[in-house]
Amino acid sequence: MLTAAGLRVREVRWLLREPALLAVLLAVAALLVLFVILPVIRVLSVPSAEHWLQYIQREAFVRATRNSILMAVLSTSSAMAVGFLYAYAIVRADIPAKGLFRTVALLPLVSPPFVTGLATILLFGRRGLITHGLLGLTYNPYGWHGLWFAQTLSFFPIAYLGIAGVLRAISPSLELAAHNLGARRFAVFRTIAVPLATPGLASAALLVSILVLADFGNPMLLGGDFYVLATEAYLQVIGRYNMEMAAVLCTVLLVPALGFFLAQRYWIGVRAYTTVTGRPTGLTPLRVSGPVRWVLFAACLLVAMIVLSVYLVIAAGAFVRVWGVDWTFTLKNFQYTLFRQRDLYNSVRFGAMAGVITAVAATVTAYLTQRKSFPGRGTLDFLTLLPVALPGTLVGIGFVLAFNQPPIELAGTVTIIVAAMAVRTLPVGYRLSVASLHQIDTSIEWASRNLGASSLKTFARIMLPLLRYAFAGSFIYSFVKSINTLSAVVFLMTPGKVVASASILGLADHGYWSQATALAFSLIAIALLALGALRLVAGRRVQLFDL
Amino acid sequence: MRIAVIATALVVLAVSVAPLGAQPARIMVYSSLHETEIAAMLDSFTRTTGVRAEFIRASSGELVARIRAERASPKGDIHLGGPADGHEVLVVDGLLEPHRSPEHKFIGPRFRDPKDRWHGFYIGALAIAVNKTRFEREMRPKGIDYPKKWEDLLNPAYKGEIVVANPFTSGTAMTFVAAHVLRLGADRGWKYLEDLDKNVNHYTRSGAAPARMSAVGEFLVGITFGHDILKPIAEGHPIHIVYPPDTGWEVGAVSIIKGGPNTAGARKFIDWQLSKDAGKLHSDISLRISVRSDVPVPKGAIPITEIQLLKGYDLWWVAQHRDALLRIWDSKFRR
Amino acid sequence: MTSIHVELSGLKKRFGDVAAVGGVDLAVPEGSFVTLLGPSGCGKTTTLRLIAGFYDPDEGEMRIGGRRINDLPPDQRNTAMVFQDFALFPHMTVFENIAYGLRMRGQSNPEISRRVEETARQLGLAGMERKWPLQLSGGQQQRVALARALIVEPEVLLLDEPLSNLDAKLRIRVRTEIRQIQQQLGKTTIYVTHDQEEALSISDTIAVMAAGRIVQVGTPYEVYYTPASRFVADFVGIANFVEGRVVQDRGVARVEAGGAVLEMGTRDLRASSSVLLTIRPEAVRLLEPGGSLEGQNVLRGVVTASSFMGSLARYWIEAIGIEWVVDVHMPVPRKLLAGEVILQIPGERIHVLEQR
Repeated sequence: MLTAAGLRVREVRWLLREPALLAVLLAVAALLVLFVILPVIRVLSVPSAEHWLQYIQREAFVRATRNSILMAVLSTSSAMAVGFLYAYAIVRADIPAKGLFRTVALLPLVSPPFVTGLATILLFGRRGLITHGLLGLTYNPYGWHGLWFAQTLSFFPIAYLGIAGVLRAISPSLELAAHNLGARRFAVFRTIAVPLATPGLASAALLVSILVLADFGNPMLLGGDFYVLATEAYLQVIGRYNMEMAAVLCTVLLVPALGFFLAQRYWIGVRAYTTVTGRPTGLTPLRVSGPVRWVLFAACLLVAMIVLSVYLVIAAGAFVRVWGVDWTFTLKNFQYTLFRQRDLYNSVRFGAMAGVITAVAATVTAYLTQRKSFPGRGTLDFLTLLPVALPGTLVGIGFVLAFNQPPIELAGTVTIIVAAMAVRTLPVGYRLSVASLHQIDTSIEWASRNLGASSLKTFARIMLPLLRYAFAGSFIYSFVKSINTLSAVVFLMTPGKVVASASILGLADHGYWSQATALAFSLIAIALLALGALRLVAGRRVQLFDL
Repeated sequence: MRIAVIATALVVLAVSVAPLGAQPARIMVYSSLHETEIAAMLDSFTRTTGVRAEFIRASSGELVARIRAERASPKGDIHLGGPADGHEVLVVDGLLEPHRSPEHKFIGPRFRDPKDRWHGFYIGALAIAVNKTRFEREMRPKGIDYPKKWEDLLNPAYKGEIVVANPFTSGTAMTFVAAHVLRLGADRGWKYLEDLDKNVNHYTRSGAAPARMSAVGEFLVGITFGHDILKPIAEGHPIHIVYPPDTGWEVGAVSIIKGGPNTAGARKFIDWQLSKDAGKLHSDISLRISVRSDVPVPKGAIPITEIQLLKGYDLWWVAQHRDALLRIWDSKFRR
Repeated sequence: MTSIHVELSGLKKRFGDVAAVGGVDLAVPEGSFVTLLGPSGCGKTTTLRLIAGFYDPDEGEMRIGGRRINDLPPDQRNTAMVFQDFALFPHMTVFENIAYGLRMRGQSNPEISRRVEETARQLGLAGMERKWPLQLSGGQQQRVALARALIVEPEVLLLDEPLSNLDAKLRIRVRTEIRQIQQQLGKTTIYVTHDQEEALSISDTIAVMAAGRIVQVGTPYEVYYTPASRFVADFVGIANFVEGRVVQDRGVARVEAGGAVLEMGTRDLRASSSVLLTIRPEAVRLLEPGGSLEGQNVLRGVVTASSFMGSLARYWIEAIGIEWVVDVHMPVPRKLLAGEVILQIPGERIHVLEQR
């Protein structure tokens, strides 16, 4: 019988026997400490009691906090409602044009989130094409309601993905059993589908709320005087370089995000029912009835039309001379994009670098945590997933605080930008790799070790080739997300290292809509091309964004 | 397959890392001018002098904060554009490098720092942009005429229809706030701003944005510098521009950040920027009026002599009181 | 004679190009236990799901108690099913799982409590009502699934391979229990399995299915000893097949096969016709070598392989050009035979599968 301590000792001894593995492990751990833990600690430690006092006393900060909470609650609820509708329709109702609906939901996931904000102004703003042009209304989108609308559109696909996954994971036989025992369709939905999906729904809701809390592109464009914590923190940094106050605001943002993350990890994770389903039964899930099906279809169609109009307006804006005045077709906006291609080029270059780093780090870390036993394995897993809970603003400000002075001076380098991008996308890459590893039987690895290959050789010769699609998936995910990211990177840009997402926001903020839309159009096109390339390489073996 | 993936990764890595290698001396430009303008000017600068330039754009208030924050190890060489008071603030902090330029003889002394730490290259005045289409439809029937003086904007008919920037981020808005305090005195000046606040829809981050918003009719009235209004007019937007009497004005300046990575290059840039050719290029693309009398007023712009500027506007005073003004503004207008 | 309770006629269901069920006719008497037996993909589960209403048939009619059920939704058919993966609701306790059907029928709380308690006791689940399904063993989960189905007093009980997720020993115990409960309650039951031993041990009637059709209906005895086709003989148990020609059709029938002549007692066979005969392994007698070759149907053979299986020994023996499988029960310890042996085929145990 081994005691826990005895087990530890044995694990350490195993590690010492494989120095190469130990070195890799230490390197991964060091990088995580440096780029995940250190920035967070800096953010937490920089403000003094006085700054906290200021936070409590300044009405503006208290209001921003209240606004953030309000926006998180509103947008999460609506995004979840739309996401559920969408997911239920696609997974459970035999509606036409599912492929179209799924593709449409993909768009907000692969474009900068504030694109919806920009399109909201163009479509539904005071001079919006639809509200004003079509309906003759003068709706003022600047404020909480316009922001709510844009955030719902930006983040409902995240809710949709989560919910669709949950619905698919519910064994069809459970619902059929209930139906068979006399429950009518709606009773089945109420007593089986909803309670079973609840833990998964809760995780999806938490994820959405973290993203809403942390987002600052849309509040910047659409908030008007409605400041939220993220915009307030941005103004503290960019407007005043009051890093201490910004750190306070980020900490306030971190608290719910971290709380959600821990809740997800230790509470919801435990109650997830969907993992207990038996083996596939070949049963088709219970389909919704005719009328419900058409209601769902109509709802999906409405949502899809709105999303589609967002992207059509971006495309249209990119190709007209002066939005709202001169609608002649032109390519000159793209001249600007090419003229300023430095931003676009930077985005692609940094994104690609972040992609490689994320993919390598994710694969290696997943292999370590899933297949090796060593002291601190759980901690490594936790650290790798932790960035999910870190608002982008916090990562950006934390990086500035941690790496702006010796001993580690990275300010103004490409490294700091790429590191921020990689840190932000690491958790998803890691999850992809973990999922992929679960599909590879351990005995394959044992066979390799048994035939005389070392741990590292086994990883390189056996695991890596088997993990190549997860690797490609992580790379593309990280690339697509990195070229669209704004919140972390905007604090780290220096002359010559400006990225397109920040330029788009600047242009949009300035009212240069044509140039902003042209640049956004190019960025989205690049993201879609990258996804297309992944599909070519990996087929349907890697599922990114439910494609 | 595996080889393909690895090869792709290596190629991506190589392409990504390649430009990190040898790099010629560059200057780092922090600028609050418009993106398109900065890009065009730096291109011309590089063609003329062979010195490469990189830039980042932000509102001038943001740049002041950034330069202050980086004082320990400055990352920028040039602070380009924005009202001179924003540069003067940095003079007070001792963050600017003096430079004596041969072009100074073409620039009047009131347009530059006596100790050569900032150098004016354009002059601008605040103006009101009114969307003509909307005005004729919505205001004219109520018997309201185009605003002529600042007080006209207090008419409740404009409620929710005025946009102006936030002085924390925008130098334009700083000029706007200071001009009213100087024009009317502190008490009446702040009272005016409070009254105007009732009609303001929201305060934008960027100083020039109100012109664009008014241009497309999002809002009836935008307040910003005249040259920022002239550009959308030139593009064909239906804007009526008003320079009210006693309007605030700026000397748009450029300065060298002390201790920046490439001060030698920065000096070349100042000399170039103050030259006649650069002045003409800048005026032509921005419709701003050069401080050099030998640079013609660009087509579509209004000569500064035709505008009734606020006599008492003192940019040195503004620089000194900037932080105090911002504190008061914050306490009154942060919603 | 009991009345017909469940009646399927001309039932057809296609999935794309595959005819999963290609015209099934079946009559299940009241209170009887009918098993649909067949290899995977034969359409047995689809048939069950058609009865439950999870699929709509393309053609044909289904009646329960004389009433046509084709157009009834699943929740109104009262055909409680036990699923292969049990399909216990993981978010409900054992009590709530069992109570589910009653709740759906709007029963009162005291009534539900009473009946759940009663059913739980009947199925040996007393004291487990507060547990969660995941805390139960496979056998217990199975019984909860059964309890949940039985408590609604279904007209027909449907069981879809309910034992396949249990280990081998438990499977035998539970199938006995299922049979006992079914007989106590007299519940009309349709059972689906691919396991012939299970089917033989549990059923009143077995319907053997292949490629979407029923190929034989009969008691376990009939199916085992008088299979209707080579397929049935082969699928249900192990069979030896002998092809031969009838050489005598009057009185005692004789068939010539592989140079030997097999006597089969009195049969009605056409002279000179080709026949396919089948003999079960345990019917063949194995004699020590060196014994007399006289007597009926005695063949000389050579053991090619043998396998000791505990209560019996199985031999593969080459004789008259055929590899025979022969099972010998071993009530007393004894060494396995090897080399030359003598087979004796009891004529009355030979079943004629085909005659052309």
